[in-house]
Amino acid sequence: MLSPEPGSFRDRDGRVFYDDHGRVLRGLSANAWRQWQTLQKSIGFSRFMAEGRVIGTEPFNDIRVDDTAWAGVLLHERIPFVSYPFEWSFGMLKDAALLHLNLLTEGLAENLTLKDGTAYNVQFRGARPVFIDVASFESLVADRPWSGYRQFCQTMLYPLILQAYKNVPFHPWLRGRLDGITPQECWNLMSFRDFFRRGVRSHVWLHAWLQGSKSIEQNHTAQSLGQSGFQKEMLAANFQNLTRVISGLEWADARSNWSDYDQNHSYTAEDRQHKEAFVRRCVATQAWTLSWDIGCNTGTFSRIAAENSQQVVALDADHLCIERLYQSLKSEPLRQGGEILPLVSNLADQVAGLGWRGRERSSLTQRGQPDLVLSLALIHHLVIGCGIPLAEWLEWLADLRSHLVIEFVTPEDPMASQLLRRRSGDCPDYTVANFESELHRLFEVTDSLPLSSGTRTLYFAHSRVSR
Amino acid sequence: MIAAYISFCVQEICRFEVQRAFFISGARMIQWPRCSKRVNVSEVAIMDSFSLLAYFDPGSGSLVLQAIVGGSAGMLVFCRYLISNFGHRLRSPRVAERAE
Repeated sequence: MLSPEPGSFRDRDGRVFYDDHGRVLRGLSANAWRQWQTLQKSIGFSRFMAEGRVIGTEPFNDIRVDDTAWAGVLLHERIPFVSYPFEWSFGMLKDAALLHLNLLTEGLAENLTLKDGTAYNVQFRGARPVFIDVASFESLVADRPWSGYRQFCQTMLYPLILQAYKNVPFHPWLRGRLDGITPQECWNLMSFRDFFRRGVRSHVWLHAWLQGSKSIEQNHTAQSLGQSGFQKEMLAANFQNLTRVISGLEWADARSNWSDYDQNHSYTAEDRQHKEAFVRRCVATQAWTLSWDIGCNTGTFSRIAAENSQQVVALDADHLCIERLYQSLKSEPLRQGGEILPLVSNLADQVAGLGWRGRERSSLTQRGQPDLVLSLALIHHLVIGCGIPLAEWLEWLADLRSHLVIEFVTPEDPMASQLLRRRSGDCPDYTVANFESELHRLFEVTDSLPLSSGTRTLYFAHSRVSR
Repeated sequence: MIAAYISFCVQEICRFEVQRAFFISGARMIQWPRCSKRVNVSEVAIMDSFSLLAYFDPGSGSLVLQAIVGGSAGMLVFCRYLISNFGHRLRSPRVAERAE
C-alpha cells in the first residue's frame, strides 16, 4: 500500500510516496524518467550523490507500478526528520542556498539545471544540507533563463537579506506564506541605505520593478530572450553573482552574542555535573531511535542524548541558540550515527498543518514521534512565561508516548521568580505539589534527582499513554 | 568610458547574429537589413512552450532580470530584448488600430 506525500504534488512529472516499510519512493512521468536516465549517466550527478550533496537515489524495480500513472519509480534514502525553512537558522538557510547555487554552477558544465529553486528542495541530515528533489534536475536548454530564479529569491535570498540587513527574523515570513517573500515586499522593507548594499539593487529593487512591469508578458518574454541571444554564460554569471551576494551575507547578532551563551545559566558547577550525569544515566537505559531535546539552548544535553540515539532533534525558540549550535555542529567532524538536527521552534506557537488542505507541511509530531524527550529547565518558560497551564503541558508531553527526562524549577528559583515578577497575575498551578501530582498521573516515574540548589529536581519517567 | 561602452554595445549588436531586429522610424517599421536568418514565429513558440514552461509561474520579470545581471553580454541581450519587444508592440494589431 502506497501513501502519497501530501507536500509533493505540484510537479506533475513526479510524486513522492511511502510504502508499508517506510521507504521513500518517487514515481516519475515518461518525460521525467527520460530525464532521470540521462541524469544517471552524468558524472556530475554521481559525484553529487557520492559527496552527499544530493539524496541517495536508485531505480526501484520491486514494485508494481501502474503504467498509466508512472513510467518508473525511484527509491530515495530516508531523511531521519523532515524540517522546513521556517525552522532553520540563518546559517542553515544560507547553506541551503549555497548548496543550490553550487549544484547549479557545477551542473552547467554538464548541461544540467534545476527546474525550480525552492528552499523546500533541501533537507538536513544533522548539520549537512542535502538536495532531495532529484526530479528537479533536467537537461539545460542553452538559451533558457533559470525558471527557478524567482522561487530562489523568494524562499532563500530575501529571507537571508531580511535577517542580515534588517535583523528581521525570516521565520514568520516563510511560515506565513510557503512561497516566501515577494520582490516587492522585500523592496518595501529596504531603506535608502540598503539600496547601496550588495545584491539589493539588482536582485531586489530591479526585480520588484520588472515584476511589476505590465509591459512584460510571459510568453513574449521567454520567446524574445531566447531570440535575443540568451546564453549559458549569462546563467553562470548570474549564479556567480548570487553566490557572491549570499556568501557575503552575515547576521551581525550571531557574531556579537556568540560568546555570552554558555555563561547564561544559574547552576553551580556541582549541580551542572550532577545534572549531566543524571541525563547520561537516563539516556543509557536503552538505544533510542529519535530523541527530542526541547529547549536545547547550546545543545549540551542534545550531545549527551546523541550518545545513544540514532537521531536527535534539538529544538529551541531562540534563533541565536540554534544558529550557534548549527555552526558548532558544522565545524565538527562527521558524526557516525547520533546526528543532531537543530531547529528553531517555539512550542507555545507550534507549526500546524500548512499549505494546500492544511497538509502540505506537517506539524512536528506528524513528522516523527520521539521515543525520548528531554525537557530540561523549560517548564517555567512555558507555564509562567507563555501562560500554558501546567497540566496541559504535561498532557502534551504524555501524548508523545515517549520516555521523558524533565527538570522542574520551583517558583523560588532565581530564574523562575524573575519570570513570575514579570507577570501581573499569579500562577496558582505552578507548585511542586501540583507538578508531582500531575506527573504521577500521566507518567510512571522511575528515577529522580533533587539538585543541591534545592530549587530544581530532575525526573525520569515514561508516559502512561500507550503507543 | 560611457561612450566606449556605448560604442562597444553598438559594435556587438551589429556583429551579433541578430535573428530579428527592427529599426523604428515614426509609425513605420523596417526590418533590419542585416538580419541573417528568419525564424518562423510558430516554430519558436512551440520550442519555447516546451522548454520554458515550468509547473509554476517563473515570473517574466525574473526571467528578464537574469539577462541584466548576466554581465555585459547579458545587457546586450536585454537591449535586444527591449528593441524586439518594442517592435512587436508596434506591430501588434491593437497598436496599429490605435495608430489609425
